[in-house]
Amino acid sequence: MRSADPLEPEVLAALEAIDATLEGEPVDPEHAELAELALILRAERPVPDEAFLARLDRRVGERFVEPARPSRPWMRRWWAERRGLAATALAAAAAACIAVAVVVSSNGSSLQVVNRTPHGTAASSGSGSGGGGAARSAGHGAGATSTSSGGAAGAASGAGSRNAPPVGAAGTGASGGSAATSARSSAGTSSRSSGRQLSTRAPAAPTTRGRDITQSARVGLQADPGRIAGVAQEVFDVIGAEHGDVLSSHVSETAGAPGYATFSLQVPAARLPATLDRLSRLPHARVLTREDSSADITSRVDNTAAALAGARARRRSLLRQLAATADPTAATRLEREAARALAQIDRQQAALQRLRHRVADSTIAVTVSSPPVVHHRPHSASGGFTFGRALHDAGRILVVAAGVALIALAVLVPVGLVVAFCAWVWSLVLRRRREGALDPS
Amino acid sequence: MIASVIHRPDTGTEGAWARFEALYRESRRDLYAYVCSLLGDPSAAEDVTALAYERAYRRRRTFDRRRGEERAWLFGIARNAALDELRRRRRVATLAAEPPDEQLTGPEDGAEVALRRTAVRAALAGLTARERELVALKFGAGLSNGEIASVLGRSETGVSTFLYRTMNKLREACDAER
Repeated sequence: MRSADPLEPEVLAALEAIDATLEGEPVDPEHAELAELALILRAERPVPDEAFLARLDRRVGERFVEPARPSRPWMRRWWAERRGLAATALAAAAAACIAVAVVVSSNGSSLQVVNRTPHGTAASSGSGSGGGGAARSAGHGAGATSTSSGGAAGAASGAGSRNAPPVGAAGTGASGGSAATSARSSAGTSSRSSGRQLSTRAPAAPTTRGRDITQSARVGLQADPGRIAGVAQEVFDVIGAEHGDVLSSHVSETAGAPGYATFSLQVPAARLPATLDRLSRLPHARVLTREDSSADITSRVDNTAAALAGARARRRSLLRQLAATADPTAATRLEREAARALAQIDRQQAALQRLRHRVADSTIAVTVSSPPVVHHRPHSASGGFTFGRALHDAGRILVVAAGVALIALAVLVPVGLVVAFCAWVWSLVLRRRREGALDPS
Repeated sequence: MIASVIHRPDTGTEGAWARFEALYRESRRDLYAYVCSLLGDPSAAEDVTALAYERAYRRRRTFDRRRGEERAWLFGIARNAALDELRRRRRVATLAAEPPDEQLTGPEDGAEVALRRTAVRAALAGLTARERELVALKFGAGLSNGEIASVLGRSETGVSTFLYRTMNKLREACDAER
């Protein structure tokens, strides 16, 4: 009700007379005419048809149920009674969708795969490496970076085996072997790389009957982070056991980063298959890549040997001429030529020695790397369940939930205000239109 | 089976239903009189009256007693329905335009009374639509001034003053007719 302003006594008296008349009470004779008018107006009011009232009574008795469409009133009733609940459920569903979207997006960005390739890892073999490693959590590592170089290990290599002629096993089906037999001075190479463990069989060796064959290999190993130093020691042990030499080595291990190690090894050619076999079976490493190479240098060895024999024959001839001559000038010239022949003999002997070393000893380049490191968020760096981690995660969930709620409010509140304003404006417009129906057209 | 389902009392809403039924019983004739006065068409008034009760039944849970009495709430619903009907038909009801209902003038009425009634009908025809609506709410529906104010969304004082002026206008028109 609106607050009542004071009415003039005359107006108040007239209104009270009208009300008294309608209630059947007597009125002041002063308002007799007004009372008569009120009675006539009351008597003039439209009266409903009794048949209509009977129909309306029946519909009300049936609670306005329409037999022809029983489902519609039920749906209307359901909607009318649960409109608020449905709106709440709708808002909750929207908020849940937003929350799921935010959580999913945050989870998607929480894991960062860092793929760091150590120096030289399978790069020389031209094949990809390290792809098969599963993502693992980082955070291990021994802390300091250790670097060592030199050929300290493998000092126990037997000298007797160094000059042994290359003896290869009867290789079958290897590309290196077939290449070696195709032509003189030809070279064969076979490489294998895989993200999984390679076969640990010994590499196929070229056929070397009566020929000078050099052999080399590259092996790419993968070890877990923190085991690089251990694997390096295993490599040293293998080379020592096979009477080889470590020409150079480099081991790098840093906390929180994938370590790596590189080795330049030399083993007797006869022990190359066994060495590769043992390197492939290291307890804490997996073979990622392996490349076997061979080259036939028989012609070079023969040429060098022939040149050496020629130089020796020439020197012997020069020495005979020097013994037979009496001319001092000729003797001086022959001595210089004999000296040059001797130097040539030394060079040819050295070259032949190097070639024979290449045939007698095989080189192996070994690279050890760790798989790509997965960096979790700082709090989840280490695995396992702890009460502190659970509390931390719970706190993060609450923070995310509060953020989602804030975002939802930031969206829903303005939308709700706009909707409420539109509804208010619409009600005003509708009211004005309805009131306009009473205005003269 | 269907009838039993339809008439089965809903224990949760039985109180609201009982109140609605009581409101219906006491207001159905008044509501029809108001709507018929507003529309000037008995047939349309029947439809709008039924529609108003159906809407009130559907919205019975939304009724807030703090905002007024149930009777004023019901007449507000009926008024909106009647105004929508008027807008739809683009016609303003004119009570005087309706042919005089012969049955309203009973044979027992004297000539003086008949003359008075004729004069009142003619005076009603001279009123505006809003004045006729006010007369319908007051004398057709029998609402108090406070209830009328609630239905029209005006102050009770304003309604009282408006009613006083309308009655004076009617009286002067009747006097002029005689």
